[in-house]
Amino acid sequence: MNQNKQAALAAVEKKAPLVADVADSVWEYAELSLQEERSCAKYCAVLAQEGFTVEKGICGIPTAFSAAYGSGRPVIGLLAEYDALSGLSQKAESLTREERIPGGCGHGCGHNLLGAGAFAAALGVKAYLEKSGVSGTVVLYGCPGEEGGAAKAFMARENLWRALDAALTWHPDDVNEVVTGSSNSCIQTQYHFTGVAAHAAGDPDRGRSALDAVELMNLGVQFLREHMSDKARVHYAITDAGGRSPNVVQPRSSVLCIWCGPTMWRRR
Amino acid sequence: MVRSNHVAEAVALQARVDDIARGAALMTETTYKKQFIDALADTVPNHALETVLYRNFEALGVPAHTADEHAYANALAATYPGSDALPGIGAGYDAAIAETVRSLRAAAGGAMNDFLVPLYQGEAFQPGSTDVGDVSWQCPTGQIHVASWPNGCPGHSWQNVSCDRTEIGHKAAVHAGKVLAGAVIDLLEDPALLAAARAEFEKQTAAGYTCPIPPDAVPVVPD
Repeated sequence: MNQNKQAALAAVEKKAPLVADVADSVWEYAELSLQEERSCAKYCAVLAQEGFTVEKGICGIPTAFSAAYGSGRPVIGLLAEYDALSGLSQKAESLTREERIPGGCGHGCGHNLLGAGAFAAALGVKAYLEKSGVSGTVVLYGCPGEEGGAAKAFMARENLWRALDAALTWHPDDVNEVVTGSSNSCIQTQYHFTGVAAHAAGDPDRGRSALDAVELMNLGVQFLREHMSDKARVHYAITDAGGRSPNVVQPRSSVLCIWCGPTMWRRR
Repeated sequence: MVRSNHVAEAVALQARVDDIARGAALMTETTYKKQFIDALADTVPNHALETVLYRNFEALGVPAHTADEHAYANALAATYPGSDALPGIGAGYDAAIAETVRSLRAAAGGAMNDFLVPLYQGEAFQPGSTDVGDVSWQCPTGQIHVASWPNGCPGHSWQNVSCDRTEIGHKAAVHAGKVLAGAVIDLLEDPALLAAARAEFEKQTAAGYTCPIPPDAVPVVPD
């Protein structure tokens, strides 16, 4: 390992208290997907302080950011996430289920650490670029809404990632390893049906049932399942069945569909 | 090997379901509105980057834990089922790696997997989905896991939340920072590494990326 690299990794170690502070702050904020205002603000403030050129709200997503250091090519991206999950508020370092805030959110996927680790990497690369004078740019991307919202896919729609020579990231887990293999592709779409309400016994001829439409749609999808790739999946949830009154023709009903795309890798 | 464009297949499948919705509305004399929620692509692995990451991980080792941290992790592991599961992606696909991991776990002796799983680059699939997939269709992308939780700790659990604000978590974040920074530095110093990653990427994504996000969609705050 050359001296400049060694110095860069030592710089990461030196910043360990700052990395822990960022991780703990984001853990406490515990903000849901695409609502990570405080977490995003924390990163933007700390990164500006550390000498990065920060741009908040990239690709029209308010809680996304980029923080760049260096100049010229290659351009390497590091991916940070910082969204939490609902219903998972929990006291730290506890050995029993104890909510910190009743009904609150919690970092049940370790994204407080994920973002902080990517941030730590950016600090290390910056230290290296400063010392070595080598050409290159490191960009830390703040990617909100990983648990829901798929911000990185929205950013891909703007072709953001095509400008990079490579992107690296990590995820907390129970093991130390290099990740390989694939994961599912997914599309989530909600269908909202609208009919006409009417007394189900007195004026049924004047009603048009949105719930019937949802049932017919689900039946149609059920028949579709025989005629699609056997690796694809269509899942559904009826998110609105039109209310609690059987004596009213349901004027509205909604079904949420998730397509999980065919993937070529299969567990043996 | 050229990957087929799976996300394009998902988009095509959705168009067929749209037709079913139209049919259901026609049959019931109702109307419907389609609301796009979100979408993401499958992940394209990049072995060239994986190798660079592994070399750095090997050189830096894994986070070391104190007796107190081990005691906490062991006690936390007693609160969920499956704490004796065999960890790591490679162990699920490769018998030799599974055997190695089994002995590494036995040697570790506790709930924290304080060892590095040997490099595995065969077929693998991670259940679930992530929008890192969309990045991986637009540029060579590499990822690591760093032990931040005791063995077998369930995803999206209170145990994760509890453990994510401990010294174990902090050490994992700092260590991930070092391994990733080390890999980036190698990429900056040796253009051949990036060229290899690019060549592999071009081959793997020759089918082209279909962004699953419609042109007019805006990010939706999930319910």
